[in-house]
Amino acid sequence: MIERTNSRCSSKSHRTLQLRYPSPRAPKKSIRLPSPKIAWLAFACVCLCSFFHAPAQEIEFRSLPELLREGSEALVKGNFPQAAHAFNAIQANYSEEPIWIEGQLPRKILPLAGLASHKANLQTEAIAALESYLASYTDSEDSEIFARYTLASSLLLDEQTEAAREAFSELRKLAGQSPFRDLASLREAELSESPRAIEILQEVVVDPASPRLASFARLRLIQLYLEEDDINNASIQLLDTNWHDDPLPELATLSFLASQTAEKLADQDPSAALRAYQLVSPKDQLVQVQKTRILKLQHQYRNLAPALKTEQSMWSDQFRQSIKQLQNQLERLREAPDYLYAIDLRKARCFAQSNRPLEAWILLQPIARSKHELAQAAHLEWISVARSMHAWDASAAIAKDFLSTYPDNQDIPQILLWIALSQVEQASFGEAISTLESLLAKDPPTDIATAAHYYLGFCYFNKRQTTTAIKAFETCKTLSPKSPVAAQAHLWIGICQFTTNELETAISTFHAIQGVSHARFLHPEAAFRETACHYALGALQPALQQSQQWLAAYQTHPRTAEVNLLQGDTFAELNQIEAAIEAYARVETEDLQLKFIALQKRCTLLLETEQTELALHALQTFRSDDPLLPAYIGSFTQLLAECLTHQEAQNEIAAAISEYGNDSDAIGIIELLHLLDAQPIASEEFPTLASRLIVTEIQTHRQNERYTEAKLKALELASNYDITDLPPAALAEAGNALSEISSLDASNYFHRILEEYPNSPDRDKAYIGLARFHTKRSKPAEGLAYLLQAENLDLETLTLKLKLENQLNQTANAQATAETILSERRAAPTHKAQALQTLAKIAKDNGKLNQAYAYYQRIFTLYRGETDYVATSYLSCIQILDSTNRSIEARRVAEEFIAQTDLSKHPAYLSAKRWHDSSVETASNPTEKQTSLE
Amino acid sequence: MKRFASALVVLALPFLTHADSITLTDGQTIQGDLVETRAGFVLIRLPELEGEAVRRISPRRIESLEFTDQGESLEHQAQIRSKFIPLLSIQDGRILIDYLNFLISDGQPLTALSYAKLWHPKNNYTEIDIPYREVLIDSSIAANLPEQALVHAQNWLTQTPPPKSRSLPWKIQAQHYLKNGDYEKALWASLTPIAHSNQLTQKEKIALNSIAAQAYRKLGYTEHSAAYLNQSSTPLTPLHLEPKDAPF
Repeated sequence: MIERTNSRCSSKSHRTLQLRYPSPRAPKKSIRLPSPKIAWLAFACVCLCSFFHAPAQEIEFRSLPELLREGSEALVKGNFPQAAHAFNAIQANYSEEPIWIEGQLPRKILPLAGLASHKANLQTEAIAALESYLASYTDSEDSEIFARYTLASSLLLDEQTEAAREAFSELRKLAGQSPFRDLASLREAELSESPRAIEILQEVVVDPASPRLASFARLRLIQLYLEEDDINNASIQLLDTNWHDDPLPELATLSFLASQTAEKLADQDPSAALRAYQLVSPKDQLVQVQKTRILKLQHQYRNLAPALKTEQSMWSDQFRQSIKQLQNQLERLREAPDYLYAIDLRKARCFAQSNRPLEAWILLQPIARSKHELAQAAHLEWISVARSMHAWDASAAIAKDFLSTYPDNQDIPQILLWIALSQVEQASFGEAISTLESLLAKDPPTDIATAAHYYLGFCYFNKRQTTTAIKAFETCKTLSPKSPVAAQAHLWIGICQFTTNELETAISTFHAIQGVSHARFLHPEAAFRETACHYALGALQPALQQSQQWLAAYQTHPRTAEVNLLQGDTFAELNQIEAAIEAYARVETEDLQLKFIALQKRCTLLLETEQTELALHALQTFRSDDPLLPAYIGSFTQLLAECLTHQEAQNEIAAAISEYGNDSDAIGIIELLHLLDAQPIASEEFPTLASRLIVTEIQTHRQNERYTEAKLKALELASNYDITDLPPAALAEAGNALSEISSLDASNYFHRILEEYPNSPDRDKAYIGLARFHTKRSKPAEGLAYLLQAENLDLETLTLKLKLENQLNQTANAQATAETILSERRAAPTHKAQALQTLAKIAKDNGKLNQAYAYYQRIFTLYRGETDYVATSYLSCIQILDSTNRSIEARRVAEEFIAQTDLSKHPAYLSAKRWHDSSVETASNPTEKQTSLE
Repeated sequence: MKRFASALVVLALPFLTHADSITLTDGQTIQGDLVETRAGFVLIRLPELEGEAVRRISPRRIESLEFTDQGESLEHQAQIRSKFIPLLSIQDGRILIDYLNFLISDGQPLTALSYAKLWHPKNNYTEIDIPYREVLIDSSIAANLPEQALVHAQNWLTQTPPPKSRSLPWKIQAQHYLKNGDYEKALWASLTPIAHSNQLTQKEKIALNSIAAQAYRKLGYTEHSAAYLNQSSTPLTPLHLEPKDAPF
């Protein structure tokens, strides 16, 4: 072994000059002597170097084994500059030596020199070493792949982008199924334009060499698609293939891209957006996964580090860098604000758009209840979701909660409008009016004020306060005259006029709407209403003419069926029966109620004109084509029975009772039971039918004036039957019977009618029953509130209404009710006497004593049988006369009263008598004090 | 001399490698066999050469415990650790969960349930609270004790905040509502993890959607019912429902 000093100088590029060879020692390995030529060249080189780069001249004293050891140890320790220094020194010092030329040394050294230089950011040296290695010394595929990868990376760092891209591309083609292929593809994609990058990444995704890198490629693909605004492909990449079950290292990237994709999908495809949002991991989970990754990597590194070979030293560095990177990411993640609520809010919107409002509600509620900055937005969305569900109670409650939480919010008028709309939807018109009025008191923007006035009008209309309703609709029109809602308000003004029988005015209103160009969408409706007004006015020819014009102009309008029905009615009034039958036959609609009404009218006319077969055919066709709703079974079966022989009719009636009798929603069963020759036997098995049989018995008892029996039977309904089995008619009977015995249970029966059978014909009975129930319990306000909801009030009920209005001092209403009663020809003397007394009292209270006197006088003149009213009226007249110092006339009236001995027990009679006696005495003896009237 | 020292080390190794250890808060380490916890004190049997058979150590002085029974059966490891639950590391705590799950899969759910009831209250780690609760419910179901499963599910749901992303307690609660005819409540319960979670397995999704579908059907929303059964479709008609049992 020859040991000699091998001092050389290196002619290095500027970058290489950074290297320092600190060891003064020479290599110890035996190396062949250079040839003279080489020695000369070396000498020349030394000279040149000393000339040009005198300060950089380095003398390498270390032996080859020393350099090898030093390089290897530095590599293991991750000291890349030192490793590069050592390996490059070997290359520089021995590249002319036979040991190098033989090939073994450069085969080992060049890749290490390349790697170490690359890591030490000495890219020129790295490139030179690796190119040299690849040109002449590659010995295995793995080494070549590794060298190519490092070379391409160095080219990239050396800013030779195009060369780097080509190098990665070449590697991709050469790497077979090695993970380096995917790595090279990813790098090549990074250096390529989008379309090419997408192609490259797609290849990785379709046929990955490494599942981990395939995930990287997928994520990068999604990112590129998003950048290209190609949502469809981004969504396919994100959603169409499962992500690995193991915690994905790029979970944070996936979460970010998923939320971006979801955001872009939300409007067009909320279901897909939801699936994308479900790939967004919560912050806690990301932190946990990151911590786990760091621990795992640290554990791997601890286990692996001692066993890493020299050439694997890059992994040490890789581990350390990765751990540091992950720790930085973890810190950033920890510091980032939590995005859970932001994502939940977006998810809620997607659920709502997907017709899944309950999930939206579940997500919005906790955000709205929180102190988070999104709480307010979530609260507003929560209200919207509840409204979309027609959850009027809930939406009003949530909206009220919003008002109390954010009293100064600028959206308050909008929220109040929402609350009012919820109340309107629930037919709570009184509450809606107060909400709308408080909205208007807040000086809302014009659009909201316009809507508020519109709904105010609607509420007043429903409360039958048409004058106030018209005022509100007029204000709505004034505020936004050109708006669609103003046009609708105009239409409602016409409807108000129609309902108050101002038919000529309504006709002009509806006619005027048809002349407004911006209300074109309302023209058919206005024309239909105008036709209806003509019909109601008895102007049958104009009604007919207009209906014909309407049908010619608006063939496909949703009102067509109604216009045909109206035309049928008009023809019927004109006694053009066949034309009416034809018009009714033209009523084609999916609205089964309307269709049945047309059938009913048609069949009635057919039966009247003895076209029984046609009527039967129409009824049977209807039964075979459409479902027969329980609400129509009574009317239908009665018509059918008229078309059949007695026995057939009995069979049909029995069949209808058997099929529908136990259905609480069926209407007309009791009427059918009355038509049946033999009543069915009440059975516990069919409690609803059994209760209907009892109702028929009650009605029979009442017809025969056996009121006690009727009452007992009604109580039987309450005591023997479960409330849930009773149909509306039975509930009304039971409720009234219980109310009469002052049972608190009565109200439950009436409420059940309203809640379970809101469209039942017995609904008014429930309202009236509740009104009586509350009146009996000295709650006139509640009583009147229920009474006002009943649609049809008979005289008995109008009288109750009058009584309650009197009790509540609602003078104007009481006056209107009293006048209605007086205008009723069928009103009994009691009703008229009470009405007159009310009018008299109102006049008296207003100081119109003469008018009051006239009303009282009418009572004891016209309704002498109403002794109570007669007595009090006499007394009131005496009081009026006495108070106006008309004592003589007062005494005369008192005498007339006293002459009515049948009234002698009445307190008013006694008062009048006392007054009269006193008055007579005073007249004879003026010093006596006159007894006052009580 | 060097050789002698090496021999000592070699001789001592088998003994040392099989010793449990307690690290005290002052950094001191005590090696021996961890025996049990008695009257609140941890008992450790010291090696005979220490001169004292068993030493009692206050848990307040203990930083951590280390067991050297990795080669033993899961049951053995779990039984030993179960005596020191409040002092276990999270990894040792997880061994108990593994054992309980093993018992369930091994057809011994009642044993698993009994142990879980005993061990769960002593656990201090929030990370393994959920696995304990899952074991309590799973073992109750496997032991055909649905009422107990319900109690454990309901206890879990009363936690603050409620476990919105975990399907198991909601599923049990929703099934209970469904059985009792509280269809709307069943709906809200089954939909809560569906809305909140992004970690549901396909099996969990199917179970929850099935309950929601049944509840929707019972409430008369057939289209929604069908859509939830067929998870990929979206109901077309709007859901109109005035909730009586909505979470407020």
